[in-house]
Amino acid sequence: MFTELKKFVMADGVSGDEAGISAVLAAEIAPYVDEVKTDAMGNLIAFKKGTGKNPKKVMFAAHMDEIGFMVTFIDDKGFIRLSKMGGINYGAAAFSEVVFKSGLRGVIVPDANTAPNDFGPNKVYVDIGARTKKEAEKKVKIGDTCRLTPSLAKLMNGRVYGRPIDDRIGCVMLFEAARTAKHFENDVYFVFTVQEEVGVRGAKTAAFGIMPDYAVAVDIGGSGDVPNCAPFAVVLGNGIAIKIKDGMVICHKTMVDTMKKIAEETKTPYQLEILERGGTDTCMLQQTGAGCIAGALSVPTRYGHSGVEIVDMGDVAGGVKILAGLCEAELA
Amino acid sequence: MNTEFLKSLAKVCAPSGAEKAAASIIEKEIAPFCDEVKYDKIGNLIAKISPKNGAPEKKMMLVSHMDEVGFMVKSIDNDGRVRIALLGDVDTRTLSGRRVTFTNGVCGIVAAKPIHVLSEGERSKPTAVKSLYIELGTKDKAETEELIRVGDYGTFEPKFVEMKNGHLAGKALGGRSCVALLCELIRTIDKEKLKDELYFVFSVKREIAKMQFGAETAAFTLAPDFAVILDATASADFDGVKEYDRGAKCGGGVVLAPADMKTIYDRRAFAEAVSFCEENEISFQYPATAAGAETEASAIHKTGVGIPSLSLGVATRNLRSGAEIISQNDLDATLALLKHLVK
Repeated sequence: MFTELKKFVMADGVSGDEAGISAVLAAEIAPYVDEVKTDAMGNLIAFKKGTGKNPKKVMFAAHMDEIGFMVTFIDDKGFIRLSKMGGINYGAAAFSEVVFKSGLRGVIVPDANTAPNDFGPNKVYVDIGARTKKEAEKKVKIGDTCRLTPSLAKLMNGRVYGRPIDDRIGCVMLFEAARTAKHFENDVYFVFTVQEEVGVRGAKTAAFGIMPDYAVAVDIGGSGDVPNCAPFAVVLGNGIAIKIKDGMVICHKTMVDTMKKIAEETKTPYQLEILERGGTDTCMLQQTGAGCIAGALSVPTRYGHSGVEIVDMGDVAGGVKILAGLCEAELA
Repeated sequence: MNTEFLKSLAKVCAPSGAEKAAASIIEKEIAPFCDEVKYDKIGNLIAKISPKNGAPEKKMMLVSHMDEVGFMVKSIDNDGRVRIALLGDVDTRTLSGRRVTFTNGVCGIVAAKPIHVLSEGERSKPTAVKSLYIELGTKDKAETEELIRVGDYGTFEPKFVEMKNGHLAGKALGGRSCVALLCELIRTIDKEKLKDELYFVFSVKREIAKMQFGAETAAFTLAPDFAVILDATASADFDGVKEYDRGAKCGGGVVLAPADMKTIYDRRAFAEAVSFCEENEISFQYPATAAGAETEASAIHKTGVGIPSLSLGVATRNLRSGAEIISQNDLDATLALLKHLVK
């Protein structure tokens, strides 16, 4: 899984500009499904027909977009101002390297004399080494996206760090489920959604187009085991987290119970996630059109939205088992 | 662009939720050029133009809202004064002393505690809306109620002013100029050459964006392949505002945004529009910042299975005040781009 994750992490896909990662995912998953297509919003939808007697429409959603920046302004000296795409942690982004789709590199720096607490959207700029506006405009256009330089490396105990693990790790899980499911009882839609980071936009139109019976979003979560963090029951390495609720959704009890049952049958360790704030594609899956039985799997993650996100590949493997189980299960 | 129709639109009183006056004159203006003109259930005015030859290739929707910011009568004091609730994000600094008009034609003046009795602290801030009232000159509640009732709608008094260098000023001019642009476009369409089916949506309730967008239901019903959204874009091109915070420049050309707070516009359509403007020397500009901006596209692009969208903005100074300022140069540029987009 590390190899796939590395491939997915390296492909670019800032929210609204996901063509790079979409092409990589489409090529990787195509051998394991019947059909791969892209909808009007840009969501990548891989479909595998089920062979069961009473197949249900099951939708898995992992967002393929990542947080990043869009160029909004270039000043006379060639310094670039940015709009944020998604929840940027400016403290984590400042004094880091950014890379544009063309491969052009730059560094993101706060305005001189800005206190760390004031780092924010219009207090940082990108320096690409240009001497004039003209020079910069040859390389960068308004509307271009850039991101913190991607990376992925191994740590102790099967843990990995880098970015954007959010949510390329979910993309890996969908891919692995498609690859390893023993058979497909249900009609399964593996959906790599766009624009999650800017407000769960892609999942809405994908769910409307599919109108699933069951839906599971797969995304990163938090980890309540780092110094000085708020109390949170989910910790890194104790298994995949089955979401009960977050700030935008209360998961359907049937979905929670079905995933718990699969975990227990396959002896997969799991944890239960209760988040008071934030949300994922799950809320859109649940509410779109006539609604569906929706739930979510969260990969326990430390330092989300930074350049050093950490996950435990053991937790990830457990999540894949549950997704594969949903492909294989007879659902009511 | 000929501004005669814009002048009539600028005189109309049509706040969010009471758009009928605007809808009527738009309907009358465009009906001769359209194959069908109708209203949907929530009041959006939808006009259709089909190609004369062959089946349409694609379905395209062009949207401009016909409502404006305004207010509603909330209660009437025993002494006859009128208390109001605002509709939309009115620039409240500009309210005190303003002339206003109700949809039935009754005129009034916004009044507040007189300035000579204000404390230093009160003087330094705009008066809160709850402390403002509208004076009709009436002697008591009963007399006021002969003129207006709780629930009645009103707006800033309409006044259209032509200024130097093609600048125009008046209430709601940013939004209404977008309506006028679509009407002008409708008049010039050559149905013989047209390939796409066009739907022009003059939408309701854009200004009360925090609650809903009227355009969303039209988008759901029409389910077009592509949408172009016209709207006023805030212009803060004054001293004291950093270059990268100024939004758009009034007179700087049609505003093309790659994204705003709520929408990432279709990347291909955006790039094509930029190229077209560059190649044909149509004056255009990017908004220097996306902060705070949104359009009806925020609802439209996520409707149904998704609708790729493009936004064209008219730079507007003093947005949502009693006297918005726009430039005819920008209207000409926007019209030139619109004509190119319609195929």
